[in-house]
Amino acid sequence: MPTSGTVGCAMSGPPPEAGIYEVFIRFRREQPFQHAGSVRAADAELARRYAQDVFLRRDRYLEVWVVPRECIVKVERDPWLDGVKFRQTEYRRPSYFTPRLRARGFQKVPALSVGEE
Amino acid sequence: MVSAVEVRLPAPGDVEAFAAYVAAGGLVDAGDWMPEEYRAEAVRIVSFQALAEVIGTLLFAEWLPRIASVHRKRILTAKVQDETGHGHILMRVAEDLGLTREQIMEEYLAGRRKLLNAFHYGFDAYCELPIGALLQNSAAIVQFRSLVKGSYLPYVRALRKIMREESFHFYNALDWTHELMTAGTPRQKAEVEAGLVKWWPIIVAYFGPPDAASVHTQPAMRWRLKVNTNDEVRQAWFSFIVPVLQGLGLTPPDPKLRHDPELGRWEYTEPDWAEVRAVINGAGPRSAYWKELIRRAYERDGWVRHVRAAA
Repeated sequence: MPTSGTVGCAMSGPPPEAGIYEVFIRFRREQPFQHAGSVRAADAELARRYAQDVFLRRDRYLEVWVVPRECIVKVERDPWLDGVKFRQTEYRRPSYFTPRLRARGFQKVPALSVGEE
Repeated sequence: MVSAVEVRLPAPGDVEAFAAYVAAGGLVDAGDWMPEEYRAEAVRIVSFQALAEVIGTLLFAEWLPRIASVHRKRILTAKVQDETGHGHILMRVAEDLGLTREQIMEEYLAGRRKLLNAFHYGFDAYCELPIGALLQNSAAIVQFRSLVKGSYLPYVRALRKIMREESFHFYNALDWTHELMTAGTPRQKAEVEAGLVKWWPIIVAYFGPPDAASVHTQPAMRWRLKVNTNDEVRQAWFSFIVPVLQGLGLTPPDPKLRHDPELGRWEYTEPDWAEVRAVINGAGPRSAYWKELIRRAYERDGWVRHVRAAA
């Protein structure tokens, strides 16, 4: 049941922590939003102001999202993805193929500067 | 990279300020105001790639039951999953720009939407897969390296994830081709070489018509949705792929291909652009076949869309 001051997300799950707003800030356009922290406020307008006072007074920022905590849908870690799948999909990383290629005599493996996960 | 903290975001409705903003390196995000021309050009680029990602899976999915080793079958399954994921990500980007995934698929089925030239073909022999994939993946990586410098952030973010996965596809294709070229039978090597002869001109054409003939380059570059012309990206691909092929003991099947050190560019045989246009318009060897597969799947699985729409 949305209490006064929240936007009231129609979410199932644990009881809403009414009045808590998570604060996400983006400092540069090419960067993603970063989770900065949270504020407690009676309504969205106050949450906006508190976020400004608490997190934004010193930094030059570009955009801010203030999100009622109960509106955030959490995705739990999947132990299957962590364990079995990750160990068994080593071929998803370039480090898997480079030694194979070298061992077979292919020396000039192009480096793709997209980084490893 | 120019930060928007320094570059002032343009006021909604001010087309000239918007054009100056993106020209100066300004980045645009979903939900920002944008001129209609910008939106139309962004959604054209994104939806073109989205459709290609989806249809591109069919070439490989067709061979999955026939892959000779469990190891390569798992890797190729992962690749097909990745490409499907890329399609989903890009269609979501297109939806934010006002084009639904149903529109993309239905326009394709109705013949009102063009498909990337490479996916009007299929693999006609087993050992054609690795070399065909090698050319496709390398072309995609070189092209995405350029596109990721564009101005539309949701597309840039999508490309960053796609590039990570394309790099794994590329290394697999390289490793697979190398395995065949070093340990394969004469027949397998001959199939790889025939595959190179077949796919080379297709991928040279993949980058689009030469700059002088391209109708899309000018608007795409004006809005900095693209930062390089078709010819520039094609040249970058030659520089990337030729040493790789040499390392595999393969020769690019173009007698004119040579790097001119004075001009600093590759000379090559122009693809038959009339033929490429005909292929893109549906005259490719598998154009009708893939479309029919999609038509059947789209009808067969339509109930999922209807249930979702009713929920």
